[in-house]
Amino acid sequence: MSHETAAAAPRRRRRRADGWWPLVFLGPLLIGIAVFYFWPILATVINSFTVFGPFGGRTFNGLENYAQLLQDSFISRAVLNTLIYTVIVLCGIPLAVCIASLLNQKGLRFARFYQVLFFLPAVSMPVAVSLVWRMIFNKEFGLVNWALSLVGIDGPYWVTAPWWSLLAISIVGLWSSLPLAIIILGAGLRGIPAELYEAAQLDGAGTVRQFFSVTVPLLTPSIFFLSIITAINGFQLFDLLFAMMGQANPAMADTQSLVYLFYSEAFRQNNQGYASVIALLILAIIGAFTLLQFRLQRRWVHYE
Amino acid sequence: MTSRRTLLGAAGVAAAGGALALSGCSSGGGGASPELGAMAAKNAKDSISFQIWDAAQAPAMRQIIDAFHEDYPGIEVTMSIAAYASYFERLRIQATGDDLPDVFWINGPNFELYASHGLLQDLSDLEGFDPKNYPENLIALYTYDAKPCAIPKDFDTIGLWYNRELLHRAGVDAPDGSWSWQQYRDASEQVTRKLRSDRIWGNPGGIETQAYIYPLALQAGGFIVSEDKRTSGYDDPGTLEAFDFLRGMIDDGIAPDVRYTTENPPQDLFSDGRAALMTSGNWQAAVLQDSVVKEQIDAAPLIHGKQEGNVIHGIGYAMSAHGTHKPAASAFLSFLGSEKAARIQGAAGAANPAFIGTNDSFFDALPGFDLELFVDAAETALPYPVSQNTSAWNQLEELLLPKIVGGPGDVAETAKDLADRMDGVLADES
Amino acid sequence: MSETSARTTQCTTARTSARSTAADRARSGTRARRPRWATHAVLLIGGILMVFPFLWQINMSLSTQAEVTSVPPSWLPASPQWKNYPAVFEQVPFLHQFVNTALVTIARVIGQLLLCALAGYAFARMTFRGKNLVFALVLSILMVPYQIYLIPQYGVIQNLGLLNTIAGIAAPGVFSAFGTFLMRQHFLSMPASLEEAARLDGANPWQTFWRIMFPLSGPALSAVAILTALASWNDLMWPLIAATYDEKTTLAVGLTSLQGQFTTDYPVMMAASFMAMLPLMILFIVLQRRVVEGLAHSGMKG
Repeated sequence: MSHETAAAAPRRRRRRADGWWPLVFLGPLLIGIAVFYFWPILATVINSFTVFGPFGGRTFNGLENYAQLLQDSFISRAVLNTLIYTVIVLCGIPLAVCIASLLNQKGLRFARFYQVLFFLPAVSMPVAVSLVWRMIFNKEFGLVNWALSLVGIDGPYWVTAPWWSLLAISIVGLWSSLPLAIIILGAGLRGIPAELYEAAQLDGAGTVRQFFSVTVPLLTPSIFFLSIITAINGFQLFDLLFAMMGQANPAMADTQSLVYLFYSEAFRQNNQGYASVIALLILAIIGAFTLLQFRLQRRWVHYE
Repeated sequence: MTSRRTLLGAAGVAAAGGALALSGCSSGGGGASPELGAMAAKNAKDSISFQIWDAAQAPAMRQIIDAFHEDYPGIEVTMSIAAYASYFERLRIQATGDDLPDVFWINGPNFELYASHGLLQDLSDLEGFDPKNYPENLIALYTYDAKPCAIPKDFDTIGLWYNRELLHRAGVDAPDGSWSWQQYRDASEQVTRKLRSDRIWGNPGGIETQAYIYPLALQAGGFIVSEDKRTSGYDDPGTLEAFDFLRGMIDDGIAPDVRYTTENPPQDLFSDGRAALMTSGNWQAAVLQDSVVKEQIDAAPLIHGKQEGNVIHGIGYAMSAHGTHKPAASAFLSFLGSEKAARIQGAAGAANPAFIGTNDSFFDALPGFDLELFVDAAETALPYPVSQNTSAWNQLEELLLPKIVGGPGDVAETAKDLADRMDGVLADES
Repeated sequence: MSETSARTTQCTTARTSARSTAADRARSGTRARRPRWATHAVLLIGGILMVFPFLWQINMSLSTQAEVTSVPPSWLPASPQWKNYPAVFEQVPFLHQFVNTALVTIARVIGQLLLCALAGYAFARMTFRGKNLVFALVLSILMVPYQIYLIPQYGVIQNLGLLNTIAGIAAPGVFSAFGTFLMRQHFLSMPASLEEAARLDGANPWQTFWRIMFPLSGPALSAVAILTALASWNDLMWPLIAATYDEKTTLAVGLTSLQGQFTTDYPVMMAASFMAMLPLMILFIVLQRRVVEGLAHSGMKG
């Protein structure tokens, strides 16, 4: 970064050049980012072509890790599990829209109190709440199955049976991502111009009509943003699964997420080379999804 | 799934020599010298790390550290406890980062992997360590390339723990050590039938390998891994008979199924007073002495099948070959291997010490439990099954045993699948 | 991709501050038709459902093992088992882990505030060649899932000799692209006249930044601090591998090692997990408005 010459920035009114100051200001961050982020990206790409010894030490093995990826039946199942989880968590967004619009009514009494109730899960430690949810979902003495038993249903093994375990984890994921969604949507709601509601009222639109013809369309940028970060966070499913399922769970092979598979390959099975390929796959999926979202947004997101 | 303690007398494994056969267990890479060097002086100042996996034994280990502290007041020992389920995952991360604890527990299935990569200190020259003080087969287990690389800590075999009161309530006589499989099943059935409304099981089921599946497979004439370490015994008719026996109890509602025991581990069920019978090792004593059922329980010899079958194993104390506190670690390790430490361990009721002639300290500590029978069982017990890369097929067991024992699917078919996959892993070894 | 995402965020953040009184009036108009009790009923029931796991956690932490595993559930412990809380300190080095977690969090927050403010200021207010390229590169790491970094970061920390240290657990999280982005947005929105005045007084860029701009950045700094504190306190995967010794690791890792022991003491586990969450919950209840504003800035962690 050399300093800028006067000719290069004729438009700027302020100082024409900042000398070495940008380097002073940016240096510490850039060094850290280079060491802890840029180099690791490169290293992971390199690692993906290697096989690790049991205790470190790499040897080149060409595309073998990539070939293994294509044959690994765990991968497709993990992709499916991760997608199902993400979709279920995304289903929380409509719910969040409703709650946010209730919470953000002007003059609502006890709003601060309700906020505490609704937002508390956002600050809770995923590992800690997973341990609680594991108890709530216990087949025998868990509350969920007790509630089901009241209506005559013999509840399933929520934590140790395939599919049910994924559903249980998704419910917890939805619960823990709801607060953030409500907060972001609340910010979006407060930005909707009042005239639009007035105009809608003059047109004789009722509450429900206003909700669907004003609130929802004008909230679409927030919803769009939210769906992206919710999906990205969804693809990162790890803590909840790790703590709720525990070790040696018979349903794990059918429930594990991509990130769990990455962790398990890297640190349990010691296949760090292969784990690197899985990490790159996660990158590809998130990238493709985000790209797709941006493609599709033109169809449904309303920017003023 | 417990492959927590492993064999005794697996000289075959120890001598097999890994693919990366190095001369001795501590001559591998790393910057540190492979030499053990001198032991710390009594007035030395240092601090070392010590890692174990059994929280129930932590109090005993602390007592040993305190006793060591009396001799070496300047050496701090910081103990870390990792749950067994993630212990070897953690140890592997530490080894990869060249950050192993100075002194740590190791077991049979994992010993050779670490020894063959030069991560374990060769203890031939450790002051105060005389292999003659320990059973030969335990020393053999922890010898790699003719060099001892861990000190035997304890040994365990499997017996039948039972809850007198629950059996009495169900009208079943306490086991007298002669029970057959059928008697075990009948007793379990009667307890389950009578006390199921109180959510009490006859036996707590589960897929514990060392405590349940291995001994039963051996008793039925089956095996886990062949003597030449080339074939899996999971499709052997004897092993299948054991599986059918376990599956039958689950299918008939006598024992809880695998999904249930994942949420409610057998040892939890037993120590909470929710199961009347449990096949397990003498290591349970450490847990059970503090449980709510301690006044109601005792141990009896294991049930009997077509032939005798029991499994014997013991934990080892190892030292990092790349450690930077070797003098202090040597002093501590030497103390861990001493008769004094063995007696502290026994007296705390933590485990049956491996040091010859110290068994009585363990028996005396827990007079309520008949612990001698576990020592008697050692006479006929077989070594815990291992091969060069045991942990590789242990992971297959973790994956497939739940399906074999708990369903769904055909027992023989899934067992065949496990055997085939395990054969593949074993073939990679040679 | 990242540029657009950044714009979206910007758009969302801008809205947080936009509070139109007219909008409020209009909404209160629509609200008038809605039965109030229904709103309160929905919010109250929904809210209780949201905090129910925490209430149940407290209940279990004061129960006996038998009460926790009883069927049907026991709603309140017969006599509260307060001893479960001191028992936590016997089973795990809770205090050590608590202090570690706090120190890691403090280190990350202070580090990020300083570095992100500095860098954000440079990106917003300075001119230099390649600025946009460098900024885009920095933002690009937001798109990359954390797993990509994990294994090599472990190697870096190992080579620096920082495994099992506070510095090692904190280090990667000190450098944040998102924090930099937030600070840049903030400095972009500040009037140039402030700097002009400082410059006329002969202040150099550091003085301008430190004396004028930084002190005026309260809300943005608090947003960065809150997001960082949350991410840091609750992080699991990185400390799980970077700090493998009980006394040197964080609360999240300590909790996972309570699980998977040979016998599970549920009430003690619940007491430990409740205590691990408590500091952030108190922080949230005390600083509710700030935390909500901070969170509104993004759902991206760290």
